[in-house]
Amino acid sequence: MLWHPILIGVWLTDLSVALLMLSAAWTALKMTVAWRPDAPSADQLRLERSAEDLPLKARWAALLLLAATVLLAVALTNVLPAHVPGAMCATGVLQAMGSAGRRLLTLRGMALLALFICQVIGAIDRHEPRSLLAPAMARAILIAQPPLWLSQWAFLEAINRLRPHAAVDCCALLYERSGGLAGRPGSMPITDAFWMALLLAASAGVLALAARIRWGRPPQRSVMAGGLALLAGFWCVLAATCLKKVFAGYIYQVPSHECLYCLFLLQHGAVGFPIFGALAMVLAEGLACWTAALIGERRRPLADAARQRASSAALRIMAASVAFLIMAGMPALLWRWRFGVWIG
Amino acid sequence: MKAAARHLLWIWAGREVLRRPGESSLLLLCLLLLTLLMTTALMLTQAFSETADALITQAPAVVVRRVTAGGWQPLPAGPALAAAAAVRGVLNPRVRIWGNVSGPQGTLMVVAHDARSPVTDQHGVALHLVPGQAAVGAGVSGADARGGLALEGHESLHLEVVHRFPSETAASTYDLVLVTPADARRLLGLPEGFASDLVLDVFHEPEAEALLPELQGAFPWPVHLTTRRMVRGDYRSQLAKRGGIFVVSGLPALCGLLLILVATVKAVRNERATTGLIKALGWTSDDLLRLYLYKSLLIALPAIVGGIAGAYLLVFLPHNQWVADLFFGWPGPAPPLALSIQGVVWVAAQVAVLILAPFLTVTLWAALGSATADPQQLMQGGRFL
Amino acid sequence: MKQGLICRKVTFVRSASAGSTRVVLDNVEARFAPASRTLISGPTGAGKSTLLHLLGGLERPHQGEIRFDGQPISRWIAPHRDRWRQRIGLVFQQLCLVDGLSALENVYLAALPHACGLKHLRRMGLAALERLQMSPLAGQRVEALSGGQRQRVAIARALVHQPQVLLMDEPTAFQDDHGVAEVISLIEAARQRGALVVVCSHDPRLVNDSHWSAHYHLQQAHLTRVADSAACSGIQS
Repeated sequence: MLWHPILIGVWLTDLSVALLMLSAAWTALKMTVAWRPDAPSADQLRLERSAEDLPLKARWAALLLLAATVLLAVALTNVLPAHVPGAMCATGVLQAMGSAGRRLLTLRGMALLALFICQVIGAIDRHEPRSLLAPAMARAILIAQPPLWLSQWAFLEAINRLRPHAAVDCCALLYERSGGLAGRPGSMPITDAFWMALLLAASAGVLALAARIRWGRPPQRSVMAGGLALLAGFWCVLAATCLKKVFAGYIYQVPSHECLYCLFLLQHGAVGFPIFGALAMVLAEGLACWTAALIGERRRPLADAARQRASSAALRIMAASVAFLIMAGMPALLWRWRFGVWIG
Repeated sequence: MKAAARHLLWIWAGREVLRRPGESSLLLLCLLLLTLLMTTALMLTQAFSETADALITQAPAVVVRRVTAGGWQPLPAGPALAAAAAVRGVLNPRVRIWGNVSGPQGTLMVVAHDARSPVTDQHGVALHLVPGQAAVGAGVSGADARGGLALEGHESLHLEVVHRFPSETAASTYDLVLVTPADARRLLGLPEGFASDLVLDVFHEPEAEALLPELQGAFPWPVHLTTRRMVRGDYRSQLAKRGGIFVVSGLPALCGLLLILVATVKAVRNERATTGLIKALGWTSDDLLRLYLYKSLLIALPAIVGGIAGAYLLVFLPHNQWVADLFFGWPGPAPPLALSIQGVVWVAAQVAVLILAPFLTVTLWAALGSATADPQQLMQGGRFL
Repeated sequence: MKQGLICRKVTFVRSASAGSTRVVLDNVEARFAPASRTLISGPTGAGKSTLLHLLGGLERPHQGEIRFDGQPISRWIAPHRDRWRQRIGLVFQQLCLVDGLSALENVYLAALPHACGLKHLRRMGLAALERLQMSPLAGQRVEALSGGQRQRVAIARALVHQPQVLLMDEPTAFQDDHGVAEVISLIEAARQRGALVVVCSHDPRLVNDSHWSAHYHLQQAHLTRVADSAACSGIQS
């Protein structure tokens, strides 16, 4: 077990989030059972007062969890490798953590997205005095509980598996998996040009759909927003793959190094943080756009506020995807300009 | 509040601070002193760390010393060099002659001048030493009647001091006596063909750790290997052990911070009635939180800036004696400490996290309860005119 | 403003000593029309101030609703209740002026949410004090003022932003006859401007004024509408 001060900081912040959300969950549960907005009875009024705190708690929980996640990312990428023998980046640290490490990141991501959606619901709901989305907020908070608590457990499990004397292979393992420059024997060679074409096509689709939502007047906004959310998700996966297979080499200035975590190292300018921040924004705002569009269709009084939120989500998706392409693609363009050839 | 009138909140926050001048001044002074104390400790740690890193980076990647049951032993230079050169990845292996001897006022470090690595003085002129001559560091004193330096080692030698290293290099030359290899061998009792240790370089620093097992097996005798990473680790634990000042300054500082935070929470709670009143008069919860934030910033920011500036002066004021006296046991000024812009930013960030963030957090947290409650609940029990 | 303020089955309970509760308002029904002035009378401790606070959004009922122009303002979420209170001008029974501030600065407290800048704020504040003949004492700290002067500052604070709803709790407690006449003329001016005015008072000089649009009497947690002015004079605190 390895208890670095930064990990203690992450754990304490996570604990604050969990306790905050636990108190919110109790109110959410009562609301799910006994919410009667039409009757101004004593119980209902009491419940309404408790419900007012939910958006605030969700917002603070989201902010704290985000801060803890950034801290955890710094720990995994730049602090813990010095304490895990053989680790040069987060790849080695996650190897030491085993499956708990991957579960930790997945569940944490899910919890963050769930809390982000709570925050989106709360922000739209503020535009109407009667808190029409209180039941939806309550449900969202209850949905956020399992990944939140499971990620806490995964965190403890992952830390418990870190051993200061057990060496790992780190990025070298990736070479064995990917077969290095030659590729895995028998695998179909997929060229950089193919990946780039796929990425550019997907980016064009995302930008076009987002622009339509932002500036157009589509008749079936939620369908279009849902399509944007799905396409944004697909685009994120594709972008991360292209980053690994094509762009990383230009950033590291080596023929091939398919390790995404090395992007977070200070020696590479920690470019991984803004690059993955852009990807996270595309994914999160895709879901926000869909959520806002659904709210706008189902709650007429909130249609304007929801439309505004969906529009701003579309704009952020466009900005983040372009920012990603610039941050990831610029080193490649510079390389081409300097040397006249592409790597590989 | 209208967006165009948000600046009025700053003005009102200033008015609120001035409404209780005694309390505000005391709080500012406490925060300033707390910041001064913590920043001094953090800045010293960071400066020591950066200075040490700067020196360690210039040191060889790996140092090889022959060891026996009784301690370390000189190693035969030729076979050692051949063994090291045979390991793939080793660059520029070379032997060194150095050791400790007694000087007039304590132990000094004797190092043989390596002609392949010339030493220049502050004017860029290369030093040329002949047997019987020495170049000494700023801390070497105690010249005898003939104006020379008497050293007691395996043999006693009397050396003429031809050059004194400037005080700016004191971090690495304070107790250094640079002599010719012949004089060094006589002082240290090293026979010809033997050396104190062997050093080597590598292409990438992480390779040093990877080469350790191979180096261990390359030599025909037991050896102790030290890398830069190990030296840094040793240095940091030494600093931590010697870091009584950090505990001494840290504990009262922590208590002081807790006291300030508790007092802040109480002060905000005591203003519940006024908070309720201004809510009743039409202020929104956002306006109230901004007001509390601005009030805190008006007090905290000058305190923190003043504290950091004061700490910088305390640590880096030219000719300050206390750092050398406390940390090095030297009577003269401390060696110049290196602190980069990134180091200053890192220290400021730590101060922001340790002091500013908790202060703002507790203020806003205490205010949050007031901001979301009904005005009459807050006003009950309050005393007004 | 079309429908004014409406109380629908409003119940309010306060904690008494030793864990018990006291019903302050029990199923109160009332309507306060726009551009009207309403008087609420009742014995001391009847709950008049509580009713006024509920109307002003300072507290929320435990049962029932308070509606303004058909909107259930008592059930609005906090940000909207905050904005609702910006339409209210409130004179507290205890005045609730902030010590350490001048008369003008106390008026600024209510004007700040409505001001566009420092000059505008100052103009609003001085104009409000001028209406109550308090501008010569604008720079005086409130601790140095007499009870009657402080009450004028409190009234100026309530009127500074020309509220849509004016709620006044014993606004003439420290005023002489001349002061009472001034307060009545200010109330009438607000009503003519279209404001909805509700005044809680025992003061016979106010109660006996014949120009109230409506008169309610609060006793033993029940609010009843008083039929006519003759009946008003018979009901004393």
